[in-house]
Amino acid sequence: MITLDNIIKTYPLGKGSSVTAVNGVSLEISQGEFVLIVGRSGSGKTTLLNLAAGLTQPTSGKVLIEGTNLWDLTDQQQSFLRSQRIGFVFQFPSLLPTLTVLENVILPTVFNSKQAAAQAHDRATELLQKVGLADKLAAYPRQLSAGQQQRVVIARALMNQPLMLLADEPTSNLDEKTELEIMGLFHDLHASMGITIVMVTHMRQLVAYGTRAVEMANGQIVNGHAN
Amino acid sequence: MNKTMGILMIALALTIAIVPLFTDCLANGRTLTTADGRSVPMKCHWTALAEIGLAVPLALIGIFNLTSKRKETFRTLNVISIALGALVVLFPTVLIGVCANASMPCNLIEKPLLILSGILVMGASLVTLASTRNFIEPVAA
Amino acid sequence: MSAFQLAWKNISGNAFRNGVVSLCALLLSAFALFTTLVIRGAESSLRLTIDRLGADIVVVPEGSEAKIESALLMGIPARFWMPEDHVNKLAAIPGVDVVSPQLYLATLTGADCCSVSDMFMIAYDPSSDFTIQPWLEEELGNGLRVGEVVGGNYISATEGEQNIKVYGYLVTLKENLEPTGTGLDQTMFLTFDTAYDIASKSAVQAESQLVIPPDSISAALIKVKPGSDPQEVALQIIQKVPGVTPIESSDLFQSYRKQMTGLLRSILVILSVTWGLSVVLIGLVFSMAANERRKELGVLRALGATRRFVFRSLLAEASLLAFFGGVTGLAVASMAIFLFRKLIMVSLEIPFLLPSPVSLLLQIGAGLLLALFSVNLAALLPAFKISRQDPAVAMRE
Repeated sequence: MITLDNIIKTYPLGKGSSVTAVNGVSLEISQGEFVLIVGRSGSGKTTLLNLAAGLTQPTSGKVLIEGTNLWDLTDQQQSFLRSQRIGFVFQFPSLLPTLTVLENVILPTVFNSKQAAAQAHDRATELLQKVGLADKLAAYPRQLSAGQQQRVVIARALMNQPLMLLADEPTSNLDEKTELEIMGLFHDLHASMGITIVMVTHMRQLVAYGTRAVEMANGQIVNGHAN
Repeated sequence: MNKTMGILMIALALTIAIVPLFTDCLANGRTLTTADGRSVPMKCHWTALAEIGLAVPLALIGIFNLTSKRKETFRTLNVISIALGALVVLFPTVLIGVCANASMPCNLIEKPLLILSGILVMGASLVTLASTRNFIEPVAA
Repeated sequence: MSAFQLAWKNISGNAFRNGVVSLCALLLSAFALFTTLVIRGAESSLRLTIDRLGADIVVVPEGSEAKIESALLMGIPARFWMPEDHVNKLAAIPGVDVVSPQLYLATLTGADCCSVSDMFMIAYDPSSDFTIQPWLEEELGNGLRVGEVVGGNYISATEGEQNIKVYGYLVTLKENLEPTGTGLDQTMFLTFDTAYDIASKSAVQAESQLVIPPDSISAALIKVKPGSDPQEVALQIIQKVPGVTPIESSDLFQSYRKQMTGLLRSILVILSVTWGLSVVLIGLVFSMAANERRKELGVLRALGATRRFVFRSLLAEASLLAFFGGVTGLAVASMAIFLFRKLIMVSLEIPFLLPSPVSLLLQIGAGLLLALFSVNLAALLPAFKISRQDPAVAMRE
């Protein structure tokens, strides 16, 4: 499903210096896997996830999604691919504060979806029911707890029926009880929908939720299977 | 939005209360002489004084717009302020009036200023009412 | 939900920033409308007044040009005299079709006998007049009788139903003229007979007498024969009638025209500076806003928004803010100009006439376009920059 082929990502720091966040990583993720990428802060795991999603261009190397080189596509094609194939769950609160919960979940359909408005409404309602927030459709993000907001983000990520979910430290801002709830939700989604999940985390104890774990340090994979 | 309209309302209330007192004919040295020789102010002065009676509740409503947190409070007060704004316009035009001569100071400044202020009060109130449609009251701690 | 609906919802966040942008649009459009209405209002007022006079040439005593302009434009009473027999001399000049003499008078200031104060009065000769008399015959079916007057737009009866007291004499207001936006709106028009009647009775009835020097007139309005050149006729007047100045209607109000050109230049400079500053300020606010929202915009890109969508969405927000600010500014400016038109005339010392509804709508449309253009121009660079930003970089702490 996703193939990262000898990816290098270097960020310029100005005055001629730079930092290499990902240093020659190759990784293959198959359909139906639940892969956890673990590592300390600064190990390059978030950058690797962003590279996999096409949110940043590699300095060298290839990113293939279902065999297509992401960076051979135009911006429009890439955006289409992101909206239809990939769902995102971010570490930071990523709901738009001026939209209601329902409107936030419907948001991905604004960009590229062929779903009619009524269909989108029904699907969003269904997803919010699935994540246990059926009574919060008209609420605004500021009226929800951090855990509830993250559930909405997960519902939004599933809106366009993506092939994979990419989650960047989705539980790092949550208390332990809520973290377990959210991880349970991911586990259930993986089990019931067979969706591919790639999750980045610095919490080693969460690897038990996945089918495979990969460890990163200093921009390289140091442990775990690359495929 | 409510806070902005609240500040605007207070500013308009101050304008309505203060400016006419300086722009009526009495403030510009013109009075009416009665049959028995007394000098009395003309009706533009009484209009100016009456407007103070409207400006005070308007200023209070402006303060409530700044501080209130309840949807019902906004709604009630701003419906009242629409009525007050209408009265601000009606006092110098229909209910009391100002001098007849078009070149008197009250016609040059006092009356048009009051009409404009009254219309702005009504506009600000309508905007506040519209913006509180989706008002979310803060959840009690 | 469409891109437009998304933009609409987004502008409800950060009221202060959006308020600043809207306020700039409001001030810009209001100021632009105000200046165009004032300048064009003054121009159309002047044109209407010249048309109203109906004269090709106005002849006044030498040195009285400024006084007659003030009288006609601002209603400031003028008193000057020249010999009545100039009428015959003028009529004898080749090219002259009709000569109509006028008397310029003024009411008393603050007198007990009078209900209006300091008002300009124009007395005309019904037998030769070519503007008021024909109009009266059309409106009323006959001319003015002794004791009857016609008033400019602002003249109203103050004594009983239709009467006004001047110099202790009660005149009847028969009709009001359409507004011109000039001093003619505060002017009373009466026949020579009425003027002399008032003068003779004022010795007894008024606080001070209305004095009309015998065998004198104030001005003579001339209509030239069709095909004659007013300039040629004017030259002949200078040669054959000493002590007078002929003013061609096209030259009338020259000093005011010059004043207005000067005023227009200053206003255009101020408007340009205001516009420049507004665009810079809006650009800065947009840059700040785009920077603060970069994470949010990065999320949109991650969810599938193209660069073009983000760019268009930001410009849609800018347009909405400009629209609301512009509409508010234009509405307030239109109301203010309508309500304060008299004050504008008096304080700027210019004539002023409100435009027709169609003309007003066109000017309002132009003001709105200016607001939309300016705000979009200011938002262009920040919107472009943020839409091109790497989403991963945008979402970084």
